[in-house]
Amino acid sequence: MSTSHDPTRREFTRNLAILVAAPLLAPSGAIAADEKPADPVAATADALTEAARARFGNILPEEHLNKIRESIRGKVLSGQFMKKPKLQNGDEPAFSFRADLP
Amino acid sequence: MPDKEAVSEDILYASIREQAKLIGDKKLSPVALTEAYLDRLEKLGPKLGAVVTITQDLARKEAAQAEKEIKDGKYKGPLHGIPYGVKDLLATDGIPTTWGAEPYKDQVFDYDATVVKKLREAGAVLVAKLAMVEIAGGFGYNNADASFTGPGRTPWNLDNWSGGSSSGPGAATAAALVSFSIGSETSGSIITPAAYCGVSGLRPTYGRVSRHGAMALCWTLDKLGPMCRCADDCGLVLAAIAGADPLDPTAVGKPFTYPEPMMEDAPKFKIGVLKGSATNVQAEVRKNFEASLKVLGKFADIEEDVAFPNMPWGPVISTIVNAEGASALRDLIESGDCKKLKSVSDQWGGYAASMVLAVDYLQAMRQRGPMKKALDELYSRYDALVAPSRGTVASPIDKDFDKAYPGVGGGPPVIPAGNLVGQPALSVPNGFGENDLPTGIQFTGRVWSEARLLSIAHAYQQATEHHKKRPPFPPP
Repeated sequence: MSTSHDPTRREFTRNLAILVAAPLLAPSGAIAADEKPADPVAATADALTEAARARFGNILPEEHLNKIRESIRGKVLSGQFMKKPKLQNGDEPAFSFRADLP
Repeated sequence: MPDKEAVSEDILYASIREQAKLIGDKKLSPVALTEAYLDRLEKLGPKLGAVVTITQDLARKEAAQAEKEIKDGKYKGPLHGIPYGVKDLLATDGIPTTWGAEPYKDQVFDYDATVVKKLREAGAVLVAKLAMVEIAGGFGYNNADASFTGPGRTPWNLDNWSGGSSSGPGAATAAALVSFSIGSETSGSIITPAAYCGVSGLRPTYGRVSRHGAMALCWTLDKLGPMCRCADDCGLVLAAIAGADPLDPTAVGKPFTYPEPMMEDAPKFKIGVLKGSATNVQAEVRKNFEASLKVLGKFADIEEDVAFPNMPWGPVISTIVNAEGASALRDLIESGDCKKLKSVSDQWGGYAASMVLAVDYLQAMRQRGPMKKALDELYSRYDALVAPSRGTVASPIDKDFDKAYPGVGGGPPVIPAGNLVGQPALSVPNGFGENDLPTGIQFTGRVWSEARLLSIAHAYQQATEHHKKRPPFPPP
């Protein structure tokens, strides 16, 4: 895969840039159990980063944790941007399961 | 037939079609040609970081067999006796297949990839396994030094990158270490090194070429394709490797005929120019692209300012690459061996990729339906749409990609979009830019339209000389 320098969606890029510029030393979306997160993207990224720590244990490179969190934020944001254009209920994923053996 | 000393540089840099004519006429020995390339691979390959394994024994055996068959009057066609290399993600029986990565450097398969088998059936001679960005760049490398063999260098300027992830195929083909090569593309990995190395690279339609035996990064995006010194050669190679394969259910038997049969009174090609494709690019890239349009205008009707659909191409492709890549390479990620990868961002990228939510992956895959419709509707009006292959020339080896050419981007996201919908693309050289590095123009078309793209690019190369230029390599 080539790393693309091409802009994707201007808005996407701008928001990513904002995220990259944000301080990442501490989980930024930390919230109390009864609070609604002020920044759901950051809160989701923080939660997923913690899930990654739990899942990968001591093989997760802790020295790169901030990079991992930053990258996960980008992925969460991608999920937001993929809500448009609006899909219909019948729009299936672009792969199909086949019951027969190849 | 002459020995390897008699194989001139002109022959080494010749196209497949030119070499095949000499071989078919028994004026060029496949054994001598193979020995000459083996010599160059050994002496010059390391300077480019382009070679992982030179397959001397196999090459000599295949070359001798080709020579005997030709002598016996059993000439198989234009690839018979032609030496080639493959990106080191294609399995070769008994020869290491490293995927460019330290954790796999001793990996050996006991079978050949379908593409390797097909090329052997066509009489081609495998001379090398060529370097690549580790694990095909799936974990998000951010600089050229992302392979256990070191950075790939373009033969036009050794301080600059050869592009990736098919770095070795690009550089080795440009520097005449092989007659042609096979690369792979998930999103840009053929088009980019083709542009940065000044060769012609064809990304076929998804499903045109079997991927059996190829490292999987993304099952729904990976493609294999030829990298050659001209578009015409790409057609010859694609004709040999295309087709259905019971070992790869995505490979289909759609007819591919090259050269494309053309009616005598066929209308002129219709070519669209994507709006904004040459706006935010380096000045020389723009200048060369505009010059290319003038050439194309001599034999095609050109329509400028064609709008590209605004869809979430970037988020969709990155979500798919992350999710499928994290699954395909899960063993590596969970082994902890990512720390052995060369690029620092590759050392942690797999862990972040593993956290893509299933619903986001499915949402991305659902978006591909509307995307296919939108692009097919657009492309149905043209024989090809064109854009600069890349907005810049190759980046310097010692700079992170995002710091190499600040403020310069590209136009519409043709590469991710084309890969998402599975359409073909062909990059050919169209001049030189900063530091005398090559630039390229890419032709993109409707799915299964490779023959038309090749016809257009071949016509362009008949009218230009860019593809005939030789790099100043080895440097004096």
